[in-house]
Amino acid sequence: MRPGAVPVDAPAEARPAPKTVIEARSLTKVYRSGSQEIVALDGIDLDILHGQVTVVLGASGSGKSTVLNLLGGMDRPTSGTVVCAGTAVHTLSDAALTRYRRDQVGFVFQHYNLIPTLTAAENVGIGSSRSRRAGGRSPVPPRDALALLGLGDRGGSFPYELSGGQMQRVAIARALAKRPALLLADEPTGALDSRTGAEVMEALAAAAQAAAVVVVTHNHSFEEIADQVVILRDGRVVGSPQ
Amino acid sequence: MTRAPTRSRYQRRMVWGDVRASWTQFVAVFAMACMSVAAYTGLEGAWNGLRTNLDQFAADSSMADLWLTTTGVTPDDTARLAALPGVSAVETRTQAPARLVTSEGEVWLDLVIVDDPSWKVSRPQTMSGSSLAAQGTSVWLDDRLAGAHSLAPGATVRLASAAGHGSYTLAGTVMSPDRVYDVRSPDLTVPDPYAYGYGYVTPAVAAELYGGAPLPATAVLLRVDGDASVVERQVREEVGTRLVSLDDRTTKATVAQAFDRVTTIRNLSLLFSGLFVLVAVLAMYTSVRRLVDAQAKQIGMLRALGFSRGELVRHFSTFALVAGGAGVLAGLAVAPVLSMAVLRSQEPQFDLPSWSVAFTPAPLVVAAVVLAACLAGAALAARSCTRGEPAELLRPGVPMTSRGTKAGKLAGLSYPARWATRDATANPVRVFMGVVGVVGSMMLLFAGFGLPDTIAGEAEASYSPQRAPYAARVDFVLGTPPQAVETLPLGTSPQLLMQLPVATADGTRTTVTVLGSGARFPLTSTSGDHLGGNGVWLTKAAAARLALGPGDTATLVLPQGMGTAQLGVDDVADRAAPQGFVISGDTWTGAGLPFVPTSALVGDDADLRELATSPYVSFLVDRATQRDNALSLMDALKGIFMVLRVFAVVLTVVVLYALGSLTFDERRRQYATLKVLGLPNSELRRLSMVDNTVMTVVGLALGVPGGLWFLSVYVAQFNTTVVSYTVRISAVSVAVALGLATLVSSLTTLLLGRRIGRVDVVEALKGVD
Repeated sequence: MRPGAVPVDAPAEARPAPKTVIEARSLTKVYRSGSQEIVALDGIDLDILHGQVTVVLGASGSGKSTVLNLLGGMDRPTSGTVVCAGTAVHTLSDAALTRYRRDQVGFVFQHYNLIPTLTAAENVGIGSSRSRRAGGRSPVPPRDALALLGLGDRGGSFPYELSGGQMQRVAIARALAKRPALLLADEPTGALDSRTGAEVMEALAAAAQAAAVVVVTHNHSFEEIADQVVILRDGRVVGSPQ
Repeated sequence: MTRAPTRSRYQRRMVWGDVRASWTQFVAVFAMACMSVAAYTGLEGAWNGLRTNLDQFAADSSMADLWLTTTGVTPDDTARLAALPGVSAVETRTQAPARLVTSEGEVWLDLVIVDDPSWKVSRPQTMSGSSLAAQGTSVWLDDRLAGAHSLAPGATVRLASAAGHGSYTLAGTVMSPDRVYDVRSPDLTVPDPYAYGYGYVTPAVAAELYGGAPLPATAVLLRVDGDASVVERQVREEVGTRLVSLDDRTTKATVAQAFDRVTTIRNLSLLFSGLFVLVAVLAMYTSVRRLVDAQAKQIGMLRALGFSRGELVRHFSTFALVAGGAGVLAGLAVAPVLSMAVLRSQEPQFDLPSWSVAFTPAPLVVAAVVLAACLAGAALAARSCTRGEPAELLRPGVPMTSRGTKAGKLAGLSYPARWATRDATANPVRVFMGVVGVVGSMMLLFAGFGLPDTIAGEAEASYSPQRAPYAARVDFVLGTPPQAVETLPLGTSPQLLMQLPVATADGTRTTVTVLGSGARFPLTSTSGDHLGGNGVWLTKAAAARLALGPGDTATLVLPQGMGTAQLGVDDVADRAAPQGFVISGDTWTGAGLPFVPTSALVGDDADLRELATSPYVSFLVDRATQRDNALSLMDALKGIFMVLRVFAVVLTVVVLYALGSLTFDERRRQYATLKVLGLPNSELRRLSMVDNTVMTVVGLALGVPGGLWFLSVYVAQFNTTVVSYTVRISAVSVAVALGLATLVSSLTTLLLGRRIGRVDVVEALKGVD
């Protein structure tokens, strides 16, 4: 855990009071597979704060990615609420959810999900060109966003010309360029070697200066940059690491 | 103890898994294989069935090999012809014109007198009632004619000729091998039992109808063993100046056109199937190739697990074998139904006793070719895809295909538009296949719509008041003297014609039309100029067939003892029918040749009722009937036109939908990414249209000239030595063809666009492995 980071179950009076970006209450997600019900999340509460890195740890099947999908408006909870800047995300229509993802959320995936026929700069541009952040701040130009992640000279490269670490940094640049309120990363170093993974981790820590960052991972190295650590097991928050 | 599954059993399970997971590719390959085989086999069953039935009828009835028309033949002539080397049988026929009087009007008849019912050459087949007999006062009618007028054996029929009339009992109905495709005159293209037909009468009936005077036998039928052309020369020498015409099975209109129809349908089928199979094979190859490409990671995994390249090639070949094999079997199963439908559409025109489909081994060859194409596509695709190292194939993040290009960057397009444009240009095979599919469909649609337009256009043009400024055409009985023609009530300004079958120096048969004075047979040059005055002209298709043009001299062998004539061609005339030489009367007589009219084109003031009862008139047909007859060729071929149109539309649907669906599957992850990045469904739908729109627009642009070319090739199959069609397609048909292709493309885009809204972003963005 990075200096100053606070476990999620720490006493309330010990916490600073940064702005809450997203607030989840009694979040439950049940998947149905035939007649079988699988409880992916079982009534968790979560506050995601601006300027902080929240790391969600857990084994496979613990519900990490489900949390991310519900916070990012990529899926709807079975019950419970997700509120972002006063907006009840869980009640939004499809079109409103699209706007929410477009304007408020940046995503980073394990396998990058870059568009193979677009250059690095275009991949960044396609994510930010349509966002309309409250406050009217214009998106970071693609080349500048890439430069912030050390890829200033690779804007014209196609994904297949980049290494795995470079592709993930392009994905982070794409997520950051729109200046999102919330940056969600799903196993961002899962496909990378340790040195490249460390570079990506640094980039995400830096991103927390301007956004709330949520990283779901089973890589405990992320505790080093975490302000808040959430450990999930069988869909429930079971505490913070020792 | 249970035995562990073998490696091949796992592979079989993988194949079925692929079938379930890649049902779009499976359906595309299955449908194309099925339709390719069904198209060829179905049409072959029809034309080969028609040919087989014709051959069978010819054999069963001992159809004549040569038909000789003379001004009169004696028993001595018959004996001498029978003695010629190569001649195995000779018989004569006595025939005369008559009319069948019905409640709706009169029908022209050629009546043959049954002087000996035990004919051995061209024996008519009894279809109902009693067999032909020489005794009593019985009448037998053409089976189709009887059917058209609801006449059954036992009915009373009223016959009339210029010399007499009477009512007789219909003893039976027959089909004659000499009139298997009964076209009465060169300008009639389809048999018309409501206008004319034939029948047989006993000598007693003939005596009543024709006044008791014995009629001369004018027709001689010969069976030939060996080379008919050698016998032909001897027959010409033997008959000499009494020869009017001599035909074999390739030139006797009422027989040749039946065999020509087989050739026409066969050529149409081969062209159609050839194009369809070509497009289908390309579609199948693309589908299999893309299936393999989409499984690059699975291939990498299997390679990592120790599967050899050969095993993987066999695995994907098995998929192609299953999909293609199922399609081929389904096509072979469906084909007989298609064959029967097309064959039955021909039945109303032919005097043919049996109608059954027949197949050659060729469909099995086609099936093997289709299957080989599937297998080759799979094997080639799998070979190229398995070349990569397992690690490279398993590399996450970027697909093996879809390399980027800079296309669209300079055009100032938005990012999403760049993505859509580049994705299309980065997959040229996909776009190419789509274009080929649309072009192929347009070609088939143009043929399906353009052929009726061509036939209808030709009928309307040929029998328009400008091109055919007459009320009716009157044919004279063979041997009618010119003096008798002058006594006929032909009106004030008839134009007399003399039409003769002739042969060129190399033996090619054609027709000479000698024009009497008048303006009812207008001629124009190929550049549209009026051709008048004196001269020798050659119609366009005949000029091409005979390889003659303006300034050339033709040597013509003339019938009836007129010897040979050397004629210089002045110009080429643009006229559909009859094809051959057209010569002004003065030029003809100036060459010392006699002008003996065989027909007349008459105006409204001709007394058609009186002409119909004249002993010198063998046939009379008005312009409207000629036009209707020409148009009825469309009805005769509507089954084939429908097949063309349906297959064209299905081809468009399968190719565009299969390709669109494959594109969608390939892009599913990118659509999900773009949705996560905030692009609304409406924009994604708009972008997804780019591929199909590009393919459709380019396909339509190339499809119009391609379709016109294919139509011209198709129309050429309809041209005969008598009729030549000019390619026509109406603006409406072009619009319908374009509209159909666009509609199918749009519907495909719409259907695929709806799937974008259903993309589950969570599912689509899960790990790729």
